[in-house]
Amino acid sequence: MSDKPVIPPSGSTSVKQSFDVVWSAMASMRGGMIILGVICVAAIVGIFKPSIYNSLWFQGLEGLLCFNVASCSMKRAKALWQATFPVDYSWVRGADQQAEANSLRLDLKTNQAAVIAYNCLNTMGYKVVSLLTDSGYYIYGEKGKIAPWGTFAVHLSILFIAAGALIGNVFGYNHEISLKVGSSYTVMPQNGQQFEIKLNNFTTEFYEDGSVSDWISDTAVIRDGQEVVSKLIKVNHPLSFNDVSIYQQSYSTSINTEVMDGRGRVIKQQEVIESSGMVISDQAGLAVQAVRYIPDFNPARPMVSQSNEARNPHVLYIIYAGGREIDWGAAPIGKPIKLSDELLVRFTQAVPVSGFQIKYNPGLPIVWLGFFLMTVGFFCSLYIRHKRVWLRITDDNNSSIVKVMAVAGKNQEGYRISNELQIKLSTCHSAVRGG
Amino acid sequence: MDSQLFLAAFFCYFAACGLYIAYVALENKTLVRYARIAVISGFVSNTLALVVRTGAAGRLPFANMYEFGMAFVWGIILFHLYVESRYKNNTIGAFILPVAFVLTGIFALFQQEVRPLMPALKSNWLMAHVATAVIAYGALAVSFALAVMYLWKSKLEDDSHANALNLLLPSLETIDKLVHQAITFAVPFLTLLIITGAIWAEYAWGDYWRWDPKETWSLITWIIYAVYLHGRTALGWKGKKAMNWAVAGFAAVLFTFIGVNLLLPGLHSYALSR
Ligand code: HEM
Repeated sequence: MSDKPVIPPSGSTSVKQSFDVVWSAMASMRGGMIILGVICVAAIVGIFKPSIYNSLWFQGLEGLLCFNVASCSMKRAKALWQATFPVDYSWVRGADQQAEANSLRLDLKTNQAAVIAYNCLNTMGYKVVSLLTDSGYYIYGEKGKIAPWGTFAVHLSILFIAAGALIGNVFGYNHEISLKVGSSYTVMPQNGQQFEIKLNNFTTEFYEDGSVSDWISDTAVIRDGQEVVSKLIKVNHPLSFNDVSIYQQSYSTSINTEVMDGRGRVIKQQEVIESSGMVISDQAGLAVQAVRYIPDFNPARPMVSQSNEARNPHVLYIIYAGGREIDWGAAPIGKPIKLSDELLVRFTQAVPVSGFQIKYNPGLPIVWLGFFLMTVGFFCSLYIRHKRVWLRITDDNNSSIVKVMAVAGKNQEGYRISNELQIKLSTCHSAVRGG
Repeated sequence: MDSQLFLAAFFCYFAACGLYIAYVALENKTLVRYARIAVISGFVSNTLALVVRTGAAGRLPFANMYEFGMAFVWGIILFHLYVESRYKNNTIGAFILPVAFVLTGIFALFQQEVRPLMPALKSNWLMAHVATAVIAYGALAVSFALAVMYLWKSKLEDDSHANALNLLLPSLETIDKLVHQAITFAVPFLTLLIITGAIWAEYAWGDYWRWDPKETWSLITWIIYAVYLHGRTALGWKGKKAMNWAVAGFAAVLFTFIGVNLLLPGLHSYALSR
């Protein structure tokens, strides 16, 4: 430490002050509302520029929202806890702090009035606590205590969902693969033993009107050479195995394409995915494209298959030379077609290919938990009213003065409840007198 | 058959709309009876349209804009009937029915034959998704109509036309309360709507959230109502300020549901890519 006095550079206090201002604004509810507004605007812009959603500053906004929700929730948590699990009965005297009061006079002793009031609140569904003091009775009733916890849960759920999304982004993975019928793929989970998925068959099912009803991948999970699970993967029915999910995503056809020289010798062979092509000679710009596989070809309507059975399988092709389209047509499976003066091409086999998405998302359970909390929280918060009432009963020349005070959440409902209570009290009272 | 029934509902709602407005304009109480007959006839044919469609499709009619539209309008009218009988004030019909009838007209334009469900739509989550939409959007449509009523009435009062018409309408305080009740009723279902959609997307597409325009707009709608709730309960917003948020919220609902489909098409991809 030097013994020079530490003089803050001028301006630093105002920097600190403005930092404090920004900090407390970001931690306040109004700040939260502003952040939500900015997120809305950014989300709209993102519709036209989707890269925004993955940009650092958009994620920063989401982080800011989480910070905001967390700080707001922390501020509330203590009060909420104390209100729910009070350590003593002092709050029962809260009647003295409530401004709104209605009072009524009953021709009863205070202890009788207290019993009636207690029972009335009870029948109205309140949890009641009463306290006898030198100056009379305090009676406190409360119901719907869960409502503010619901609000708390809604806010907390936002943090859960954000945490789950973050975990998924950081530790999860997601990639797409294509599998030919009969082939398999090795999945290597980060936590656990690797396994293989094998596509045994791929079929498309149709409705009577010809529209697709399902794409079905008949799949097996193989571990250590043994089949452990088999499942028909369809849209809406992914396969889950060891935290890895496999989704039906796309489909295609793999067309085995062979190029032959004049003497019928195969000089090049390749699996061509439907609609893509195979380059035969770069220099000559020679290529063949397998445009579409037609299982049941009809020359009168060459572009559409008459059925889904391979009754008359053809491949629609285009041939390019010098980079330009020079020929096109429909070739029966197995039959060579002329490519150039010396070369022939033939499509020997068409095999269905299924496209899968393979996903591991360790954040998912946390997101689901967040969804659950949010739903339950919203119903508790908005469908249940938190109500608190205080009664103060004092003696006045052998009759009782009952003061009614009520607070219901933040709403100005006190009067309504106190009126209801008054009516109840007077009916109870008259019942006693009548009896 | 369902389209004729839905068209009949459209004409009934149109008639009811005219009758309710005439009631408010002419202050002629007998018109209310006819208006109610028209609404109820419309509601009955709307219900039948849904039943017939369900029978024809062999599933709930929740698969496209036309089918959902029938259910949506049905929900609005159901809430209308409830609010009207609960609060014994018939003027609200002059505000809710125009909304219902315009929407009926729009959805009728999207009429289409029953088609079997494509693979991505074959999910129970979709059913839950659409059922929550009917509840949430129905109640929000009512909140919107009532907010418009509030704004209109407060304009009448500003113009100091404290006339009989003004007395016919519920008090501003009552309308304000009703709008708030409709929104607080709807918001948990709006939340569930987005959540069921996300869960469905997780199973169908392998991702619960992809920021496609439909998801994005549903989030924006939800945020608008979240801001409204905070303003209302924590900052004490009341009156016009709260009503403007209620109107904006429903505008976002309509955009999510109709605007995105028409203006930003092709992005909510149901089908598998090939
Ligand atoms: C992101 C979406 C959010 C949702 C869906 C949400 C939801 C809610 C709900 C449902 C309520 C209860 C309203 C009522 O009592 O009727 C509430 C209250 C509240 N929220 Fe939020 N909230 C969100 C974000 C925030 C943020 C960012 C803050 C910032 C601090 C915040 C602070 C508060 C506060 C202070 C209350 C008042 C609690 C009370 O009076 O009991 N909320 N919120």
